Amino acid sequence: MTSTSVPIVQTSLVVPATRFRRRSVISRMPLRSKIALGVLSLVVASAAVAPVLPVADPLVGNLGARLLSFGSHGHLLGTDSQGRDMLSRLIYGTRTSLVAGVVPILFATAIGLAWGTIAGLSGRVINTLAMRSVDVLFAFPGVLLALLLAIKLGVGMGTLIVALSLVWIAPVARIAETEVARVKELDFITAARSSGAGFGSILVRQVIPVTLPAVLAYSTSLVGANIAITGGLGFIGLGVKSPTPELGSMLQEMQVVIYNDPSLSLVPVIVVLALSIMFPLIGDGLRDAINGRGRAS
Amino acid sequence: MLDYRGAPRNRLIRFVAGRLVLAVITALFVAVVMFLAVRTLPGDPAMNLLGTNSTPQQRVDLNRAMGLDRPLSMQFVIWLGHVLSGNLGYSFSQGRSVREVIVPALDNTLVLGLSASVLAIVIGVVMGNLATSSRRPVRRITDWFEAIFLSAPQYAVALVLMIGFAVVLPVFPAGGLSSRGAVGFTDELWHLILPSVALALAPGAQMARSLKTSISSLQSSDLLPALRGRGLSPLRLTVHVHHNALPPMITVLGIQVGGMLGGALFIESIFSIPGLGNLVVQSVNLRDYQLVQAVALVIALIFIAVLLTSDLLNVVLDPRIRVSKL
Repeated sequence: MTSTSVPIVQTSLVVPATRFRRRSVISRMPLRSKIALGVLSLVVASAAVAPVLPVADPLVGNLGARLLSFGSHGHLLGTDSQGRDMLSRLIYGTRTSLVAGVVPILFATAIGLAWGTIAGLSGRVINTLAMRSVDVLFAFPGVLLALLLAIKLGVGMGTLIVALSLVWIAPVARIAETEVARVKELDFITAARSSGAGFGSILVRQVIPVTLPAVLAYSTSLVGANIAITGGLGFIGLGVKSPTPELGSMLQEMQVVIYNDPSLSLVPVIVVLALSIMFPLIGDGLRDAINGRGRAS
Repeated sequence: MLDYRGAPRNRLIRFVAGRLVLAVITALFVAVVMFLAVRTLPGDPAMNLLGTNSTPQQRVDLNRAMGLDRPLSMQFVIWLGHVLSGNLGYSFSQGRSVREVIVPALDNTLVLGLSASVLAIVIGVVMGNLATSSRRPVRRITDWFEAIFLSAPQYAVALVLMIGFAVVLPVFPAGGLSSRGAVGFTDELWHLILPSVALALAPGAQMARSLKTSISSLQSSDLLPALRGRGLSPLRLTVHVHHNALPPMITVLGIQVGGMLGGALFIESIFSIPGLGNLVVQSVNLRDYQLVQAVALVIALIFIAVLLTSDLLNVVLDPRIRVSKL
């Protein structure tokens, strides 16, 4: 009896390595995040290859063919009030919005992560100073801050990116600080410190790898909010210079002619809605996948 | 005087005083930023006022008369004094003092903001309760509602509502705050419905999420069985659950007011409501930046006041905050 029980204990300790192999992050996301990721990939792909797509020039209008409705000859989604092809303007406008939506978040994530990590690891005085200044930035509604900066810096893609980057530093810094403050109390940090790891080593090898996924998931969600603000600025004429196609300014142009063909005005609205909803869906999915909540489904 | 269990009164006073000081510091910082933003705008103010035909001497004289030759810190103190006494400057695009322009606009924005907030609370409570329903299809619908409206830009929702319920089905008016010739409460309410819904959906979804989290964490705790065991009626149970969920919801609402103030920029301009947001958009187009900065300052100050109020309200409502944070 005793001789047979020993091998059983031993085999139960040797677990096949495959059982612990983690499924990829994407496969652990909930279904709706996967759908959003799929749709978004298509949108990004079409925006990326826009110059080689067989669509009309987004800048050249035909004044004889203004406000054509869906399915008109050569204009699948109709034309706008200056006779420019709607489908082509939507594709190029999405391109503009994606650049203005993603690039500032990349900058803001880099700066905000550094800011929040330093604040989280520092002593009380520096932490209070760093986080109180973040709190002050929160006293401005994001749209308003972006608007003031856009006025200050002038209209254009470059300045738009700078303005929007500044807007999102504070939210990223706050999330990063919360994460770092949580992680630095955990046992493995103490273990690393007691085994003689220096500040820099703990920062790079222990803290950043654990906090980064959560911050990146949050940043992904922020892209949606950023695209929304970009569209809003374009709507009130503070986006990129016209006639560059941009979704916000298209919304404004189509609102003016809303009574001519309401369904035509609805098209750019749907694109803006889709873009700003998909990024948070993906971001939430990433967060759930990281936290392990999506694992069961 | 109020006296709370679990927290000596002087600690409560210290907490309130701390929050007040923080709010004042934030407001001061906002004022500095606004001041620098106006003063560092490109262009010579004297040149703008006198025109290019003026002599350099005239411009120097005017700059001295306006106090622009003094050091920046001195100018700030003078400007702050003016702002505190209610003098926000002069709007050249409107031909009136900024204060005269802002006060009626502020009125309209507050009415819109208030109706949107009430609506957001209703949406939040209803959707939050539905989200914890025992029926799976109901939960799925509220999940999608949340996922969509948490992140849908308010101006896009406004345009969809406008196309749907003012253009295709002309049920509601497409703009303004009152019909020509008509006066009265119901008429204004009718005009407020679409813009309020557009503004309220995002904060409503956010509050629903907060309520859902509170309720489901309560449902897995021992509190509810204990209360039920003591023979409390379902109604009383619901009251207890919502009392517990209230503080986080108030925090969310406070933060969301900022989103509403920002969103009002576009909503007011879409529905042609003569409020602060519309004023900002108009002044941007007219390049009247003095007015833009003044309105931005007012909006930021409202937001600071709202955040302060929600913090203080939470202390009154939640005994746990009194114990842990005081």
